[in-house]
Amino acid sequence: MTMMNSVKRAGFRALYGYLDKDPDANIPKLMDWVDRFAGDGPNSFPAQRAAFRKVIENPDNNWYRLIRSMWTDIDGEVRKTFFENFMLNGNLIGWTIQEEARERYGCNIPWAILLDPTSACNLHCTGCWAAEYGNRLNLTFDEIDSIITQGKKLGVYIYIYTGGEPMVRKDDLIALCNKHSDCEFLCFTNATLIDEDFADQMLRVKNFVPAISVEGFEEATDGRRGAGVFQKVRKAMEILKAKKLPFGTSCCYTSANLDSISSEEFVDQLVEWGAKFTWYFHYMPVGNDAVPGLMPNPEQREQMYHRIRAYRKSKPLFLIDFQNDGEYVGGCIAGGRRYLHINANGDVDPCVFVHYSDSNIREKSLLDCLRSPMFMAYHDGQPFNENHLKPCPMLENPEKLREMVARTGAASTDLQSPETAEHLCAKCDGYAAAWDGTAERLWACGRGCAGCAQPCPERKAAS
Amino acid sequence: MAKSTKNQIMTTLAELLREKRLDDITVTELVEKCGISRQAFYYHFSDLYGVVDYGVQQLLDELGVDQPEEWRASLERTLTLLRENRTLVLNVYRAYERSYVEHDLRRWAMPLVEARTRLAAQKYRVTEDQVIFMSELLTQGLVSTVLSWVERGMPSSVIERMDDFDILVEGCLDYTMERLAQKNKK
Repeated sequence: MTMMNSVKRAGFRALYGYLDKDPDANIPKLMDWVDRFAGDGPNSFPAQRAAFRKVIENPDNNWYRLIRSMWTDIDGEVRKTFFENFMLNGNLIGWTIQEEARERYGCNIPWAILLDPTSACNLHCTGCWAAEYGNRLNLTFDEIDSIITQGKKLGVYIYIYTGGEPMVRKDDLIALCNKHSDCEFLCFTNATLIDEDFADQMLRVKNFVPAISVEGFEEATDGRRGAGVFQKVRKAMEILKAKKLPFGTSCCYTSANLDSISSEEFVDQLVEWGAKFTWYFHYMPVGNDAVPGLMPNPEQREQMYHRIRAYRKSKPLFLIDFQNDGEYVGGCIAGGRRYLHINANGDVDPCVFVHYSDSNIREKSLLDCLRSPMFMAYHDGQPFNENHLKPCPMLENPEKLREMVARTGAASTDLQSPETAEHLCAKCDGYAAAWDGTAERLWACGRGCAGCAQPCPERKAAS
Repeated sequence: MAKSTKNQIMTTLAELLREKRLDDITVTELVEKCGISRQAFYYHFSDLYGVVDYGVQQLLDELGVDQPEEWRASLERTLTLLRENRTLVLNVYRAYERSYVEHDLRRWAMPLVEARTRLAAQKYRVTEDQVIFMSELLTQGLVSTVLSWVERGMPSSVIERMDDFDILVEGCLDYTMERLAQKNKK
C-alpha cells in the first residue's frame, strides 16, 4: 500500500471511531474539522460545505435521518465493515489504485464489477431475460474468486451479483464474502431465498448487502413474479430488519407501472420496510422477445426525473435513477468506466443491458478484457453525449452502439436467442428521437437555462 | 457441514503444521488433504490464519481458568502442552508478527494473573484500579517471558523454573499490596 493510502486508512479509522462513539454529538462536529482543514481559498468548495453543514446540523433533514439511521437500524459490526470496505477500500483507497491503473494501461478501470454467479433462478417471471438464459450456466467458485482477486489488484473492492438468482448459490456467496473480507458485496435478488439462517451468515461475514427486486405492491409483484412472492419478500425484509442488516431495493419502471412505482406512497412504504437505498431502472427493450411498448414515454420519464429529485430532498432513502442521473457520474458508466458485467457463461459485457462482447473471462485476464476493442470503443467514445440525460449508446444514441458493434466485431452474448445490434437499436430509434426535445429542455433547466429557447414559466419567474 | 468440517479443517492443519511452517502451507494443499472443496474451506474461514485463531480459541476454552490457588499448576500445564507440540507451535509462531502472538498470549495470561492478584488483594485495602494495574504489569512480565522462551526453542529448564516464578509473584504481590494499602490509608 502506498504511503498516502496508509495515511488515509489511519485517518479514516480515527474519524469513524470518533463518529461511532457518540454519533448525535459528533456528526455535527464533523464539519468543524472539515472547515478548519479546507480553509477559505478558491478551491475549498465553500458552497458544497455550506450545503453539507445544512444537512448535518438539522436533525429533521432527510439525509441526516438516513445517516443517523445507520446507527439506530444497523448492527455495529456490519456498519463498521460497510464503512471500511465500501467507503474506505471501495472509494478512498480503491480510487487511487484505479487511477494509477487507468494511467498505466490507458483503458477504463471499473469501480465495481457486476457478475452473474448463475443463470439459474427459482422463479419464472414474465419477460425476464435472465430466465431465458436457462439454468445451465454457472461461474465456478474458483472463477469468481479469480475475478475478484484480479479486480482487487486494479483497485476494485465492490462486487455486485446479478443473474439469474444469485442466492441459488448461497454457500458460494458466503464463502466469497469470507475469503474477500476487505470487499463489499451487493446482490440483486428476488429475496425469496433469504431465511433466518442466511441472515445469520450475513451477520457473520458482515459484507453482504441485498438489493431486493420489487415491482410495486402485492398485486404488481405477484402479477409478474408469481403468486405469494410478495409475502415472501416482505418476510425476508422483516428478517433483515429484525437482525439489523442493511438492504435496499431495486425497481424497474415501465410505461405500465411508472406511476405507482414512483408514487410517494410507495417510496414511503420502502422506507418503512427498512430499505436504505433504492435503485430505479428504466425498462430496456433488450432481447428478441422484449416489449418496446413498455418503454416509458417522454412525459413519463420526465415525471420520474422530477419525482426522484423531489424525494432526494425529503425522504431518508438513497435513491438512484440509473437512466436520469448521468449528470452525477459524467454520463455512461458502462464499458468498465465505472462498471462492467460478466455473465454466467464468462462473457464480459460492457453493461448489464448491452450483451455484445469480444471477450470471455475464461480466455483472457480481466485487464485484457478491459483492453479489448469493444471496451476500448467505450473508453474512446465516452461520454456518448454531452447531455447526460442522454447517456446511453443504446437507448438514447442507438447509432453509437450500431457503430461500435460493427467496428469491433463484438458478438451477441445472449445464449438463448442472439439478437443483432440492428434489431435492438431499431427499437430505440423512435424512443431516442421522441426523448430528445425533453432531454434538451431538462438539461438546460438544470444548468441555468443556458442554450434553451423554449418557453418556460420557471425562467420567467427567475428573471 | 457446520462444526465437523470446521474441526476437520483445524485438525488437518495441525497435522500439516507438524511438517512445515504456516506460511509454507496453501489452502489448496490443506483442502486436498482434507478431501473438501476450496469453497467449503472459505465458507468457514477467511484464510489459514483464521483456522489458527479458531484453534487458539478452542484451546483457550479447553484450558479455562482454574482456581487462583492452582495457578502455578495451570501455568505449568500450558507450558508443558506447548512444549509437547513444539514443532507445531514454532511453525505457527514463525509465520506471525510478534505483536500478534503477544496479543493471543495476553488473552490467555491476563485472566490467570488477575485471578491470582485478586486472591492476594483480599487481605489488603487496595482499589480496583490498583488491582488491574498490578495484573497488567505481571501479565506483561509473564507474556514476555513466555515469548522469549518460545524464541529460544522452549527449553524444559524454564518450566522447571516456574516454582521460582511463583515465589517471585507471591512476594511481589504481598509486598506491593501492603505498601499500597499503607499509602491508601493516608
